[in-house]
Amino acid sequence: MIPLPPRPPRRRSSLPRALAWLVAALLVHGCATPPPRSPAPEPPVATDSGGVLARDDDFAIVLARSGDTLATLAERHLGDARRDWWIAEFNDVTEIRPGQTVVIPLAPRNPIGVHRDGFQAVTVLCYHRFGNRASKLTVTPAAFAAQMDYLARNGYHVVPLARLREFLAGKEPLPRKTVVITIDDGYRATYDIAFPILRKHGFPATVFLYSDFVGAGDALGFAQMKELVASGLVEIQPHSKTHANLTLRLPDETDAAYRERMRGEVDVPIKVIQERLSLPSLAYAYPYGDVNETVVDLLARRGVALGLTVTPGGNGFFAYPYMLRRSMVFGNEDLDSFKARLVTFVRTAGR
Amino acid sequence: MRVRGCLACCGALLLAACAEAPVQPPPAAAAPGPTRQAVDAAIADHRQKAQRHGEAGDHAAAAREWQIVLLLAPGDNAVRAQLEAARSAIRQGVRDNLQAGNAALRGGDADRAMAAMLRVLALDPENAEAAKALRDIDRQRLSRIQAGRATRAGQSSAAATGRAAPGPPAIAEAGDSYDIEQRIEMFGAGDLAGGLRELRAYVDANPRNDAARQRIAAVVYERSQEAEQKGAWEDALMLCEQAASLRGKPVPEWTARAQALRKTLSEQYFERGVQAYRTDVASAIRLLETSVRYDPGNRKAQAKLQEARAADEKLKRIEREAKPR
Repeated sequence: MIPLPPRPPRRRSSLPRALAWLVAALLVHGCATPPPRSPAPEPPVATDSGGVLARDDDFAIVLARSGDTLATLAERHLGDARRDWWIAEFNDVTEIRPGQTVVIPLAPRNPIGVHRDGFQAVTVLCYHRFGNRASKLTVTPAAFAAQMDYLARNGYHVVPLARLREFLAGKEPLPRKTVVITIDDGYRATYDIAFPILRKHGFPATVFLYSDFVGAGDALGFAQMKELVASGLVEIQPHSKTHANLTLRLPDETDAAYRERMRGEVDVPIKVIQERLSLPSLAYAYPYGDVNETVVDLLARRGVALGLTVTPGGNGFFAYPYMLRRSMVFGNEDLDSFKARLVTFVRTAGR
Repeated sequence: MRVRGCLACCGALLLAACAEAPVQPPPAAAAPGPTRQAVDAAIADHRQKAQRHGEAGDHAAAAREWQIVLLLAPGDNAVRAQLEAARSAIRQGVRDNLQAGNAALRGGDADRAMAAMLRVLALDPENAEAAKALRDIDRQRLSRIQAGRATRAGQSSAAATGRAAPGPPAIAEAGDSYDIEQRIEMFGAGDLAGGLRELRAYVDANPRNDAARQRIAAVVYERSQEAEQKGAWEDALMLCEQAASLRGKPVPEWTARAQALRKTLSEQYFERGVQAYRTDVASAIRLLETSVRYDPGNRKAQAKLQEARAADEKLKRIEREAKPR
C-alpha cells in the first residue's frame, strides 16, 4: 500500500466564519419569535405513538389499535399486565376492539370499593376435608371441581390471602368479584384431591395447619406440604397447635397459665411452619372460629396480621383484620348453596 | 467556491429559520375519520353517563365522567363548570353525611352511623374519619359476636363442672353443628388423642345435649369396630369404652362387646405370657399381669401368674444364695 502524502494545512478564511455567526444569530432570532398561535386544540384527536388521545394524572384515554388487549394496555400504561381488570372494570368491558376509546385509570380510584349503592366484600371460603363420602365437612372431588369451575366461568378472581391485607389497609384495590380459598387442618386430601383441581385453574389457596395433626393417619406430611408450597399456589399458615377451642379455659386454670397455654397455641405452629417450610406466618385461623382479645394480642405481638373466624359473610375494607369473616363450604350442600356463599357486594342503598 | 457554498447554505438556513415554526396541524385534519368519530362518540357517551349519574345524585361518578369529558374536550367551559358543580356537591355531601354519621354514633345507632359513613366514602374514598368510624363499628360488632360465642361456651363449660346453675343447654341441641363435625373429622382423620380430647370437651361442655352425645359416641364406637377388624384389639377396647363413657348411658351391646374384647385380650396376653415363661420369667409376669388386668376372672392366667411369680422368687433366691459372700 502506498502511503498518502500528508495533507497541506488548511487555509483559514474569515468570511465563512462571519457568515456562520450571522446565520447563527438569525437562527436564534428566528427561533425566539413566537410561532403564530395554532387554533385552540378542540377535541384532541391526534394520538401519540401509544395511541393516547389525552391524559392527566388520573386517566389516560387511548384509542385501541389492532392487537391491543386489556393486558397489553395494562402493561403499557399501568406497568403490569395483571392490572388488566382495572381497565376492564372501569370501562365495563371484557375485551377491547380496535378503534375503541378506552379510559385507563392510572391510579386506583376507589381501592376500598365503596359505592353509592353498597360496598365491595371479599368472601373467604373455608374448606376442611375432601373425599368420596360427602359429609358436612367432607366435600367430594366432583363437588369441589364444580365449585371451582363455577368460579372460573363466572368471572371470579381467586386471590392469595395476603392481598386481602392490602385491601383492608385501603392500599390496593381488588377485583369486583374476589374470593379467597382456605383449607383448614391439613388433611392429606388437600394434596390428593384439592390441589390438582386448584392447579388446573391456577387458583391460590391457604392451608391452615394445626401442628399436632402432622403425623396422623390422614394428615399432610411435610414432603407434600413442600410440594404444595413450591407450586406457588399454596401457602401454609397456622391453625393452632392442638385445635383446642382457644376461648375455653381448663378447669381452675389461672390467667397466667391460660395465657401461657395460648402462647403455645400461637407460637408452636408458627415455629413449625417457619422451621419446616421456611414460611412466615401472616394469618392465623382460629379452631372452631373462636377467639378472644388475649389470643389477638399474642398474634399481634408475633406479627401475625390477619385472624380468621368462621362467622359467615363477606369482608368489606373496614373488616377487623383479627376477626375476619369466613364462609364454610359444607359437603352436604349443593352448588346453589355454594353460590349463595359468594358475597362480593353488600347492597346498602335504601338503608 | 467554498464561500459560495457557505452562502447558499446560509441562505437556505435563513429561509428555514424565517419560515413559520412547524405547527401541529389541526387535530381534526390529522385524524382519520374513524378516530374523530370514536372520540366524538366517547365524549357523547361519557357526557351522557355524567348527566345520568348527576341526576341520580351520584356525584362521585358524575365528577369522574365530567373529568373524562373535559380531558377529551379541554376547551369546553360548560363541561368545566359541570365538573366543578359535581365536586362542590361532593364536598357538601361529605360534610352532611359526616355530621349525620357522627350524630348517629353519639346516639349509639351503629346501623345509621355505618350507612352515613359509607355514603361519605362513596363520595370521598380517602376520607379517613369515615373509614375509621366504619372500622370501629365492625370491630365492635365482631367482638360482640365472639364474646357471645365465648360466653355460651364458657357457660356450658361451667355447667359441666357444676360451677353454674343448671339451665337450658348452652349450645343448641344440634347434633350436626360445625363444632361437633369438626371434632369428628379430627378424630376420623387419625388424630385419635386430639379428636377424643375435643369430643370429650364438647360432651363435658354440653352434658344435656343427648343428640350430640349419641352421635359422638356412635362415631367413636364405629372406629372401635374398625380397629377390631384390623386386629388392633387394645385400640378397639379403648375406643369401645370411650364410646360408652361419651354416651353417658349404658348400652348393653357395647358393654357386652367391651367384656368380650377384654376376654380376648386377656387370652392373648395369657398365651404370650405362657410363651415367654419358658425363657424370660420377668416378661412372662408382665404379660400375665396384663392378662389378669383385662380379665380379673381369667383363672388360667391367675394360676399361671402365681406360678411365674413363685418361679421368679425361687430364681432370685438361688441367685442371692449363689452370690459369693
